[in-house]
Amino acid sequence: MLGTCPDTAFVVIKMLQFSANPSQDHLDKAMYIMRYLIGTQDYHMVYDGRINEGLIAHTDLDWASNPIKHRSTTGFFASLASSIVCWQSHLQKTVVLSSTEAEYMAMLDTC
Amino acid sequence: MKQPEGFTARGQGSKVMCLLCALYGLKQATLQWWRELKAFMKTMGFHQASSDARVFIYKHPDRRLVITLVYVDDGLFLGADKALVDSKKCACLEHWECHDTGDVTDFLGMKINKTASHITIDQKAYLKTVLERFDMHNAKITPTPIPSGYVPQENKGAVNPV
Repeated sequence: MLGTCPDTAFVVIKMLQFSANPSQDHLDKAMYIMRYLIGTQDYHMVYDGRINEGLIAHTDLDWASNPIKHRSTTGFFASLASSIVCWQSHLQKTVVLSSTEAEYMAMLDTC
Repeated sequence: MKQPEGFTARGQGSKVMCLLCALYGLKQATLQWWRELKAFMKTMGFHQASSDARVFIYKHPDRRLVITLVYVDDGLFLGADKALVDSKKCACLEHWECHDTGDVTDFLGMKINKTASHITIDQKAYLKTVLERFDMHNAKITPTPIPSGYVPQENKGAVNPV
């Protein structure tokens, strides 16, 4: 469902990080995501060609979100024609020393 | 490739075979198909996008574009000039045994609807099949993708055998 549901990108990636050895709790949360998708199944991506804003990209991060690996999570999306065309949420490759450092790494991931 | 079981040449068991023709279902088939596709796209004048390997772009001398998206054996031809797009598509249809489904309404399980002013994409049909597989179509809906403040914990137990 990642193809058209950028709102679940973060949690899906989060749960995937435990896919090598999932516990019952992780499976329950996967079901929780499914139940969220039921509620939002009528949502869809709408691309309006008349809106001529050009390519706009946004980026943010969740600092030290992974207490096990001590890494931050980058999230970004790029929008075109009033809707999102590209998005990603992933764990950063390196351990950062400050949130500023994490911010520019997130920016680099977006570019 | 390794010699198949029961067909090992006597006394030459350690040798490997040279694959002359990739067969459907072989481990090597995917790579062979990909090489074949890439070579064909190159002869048609397309070049592969560096950011996404599945995207091929054809640049006509007068700056008209045809963008092709390939997912294993599904392809999508896009472009502003319909005649140019059709000519590229026909070349593909002639080269391979495949069929043209006309204007796109469905791609990789995504439903694509076009109206006069906008295009919408949804995966409702796919979601339905998944929900049925897990017998969840009557499940209670949740307001958020994950409970707020939830921090997943590592599974300390042994890996479950499948």
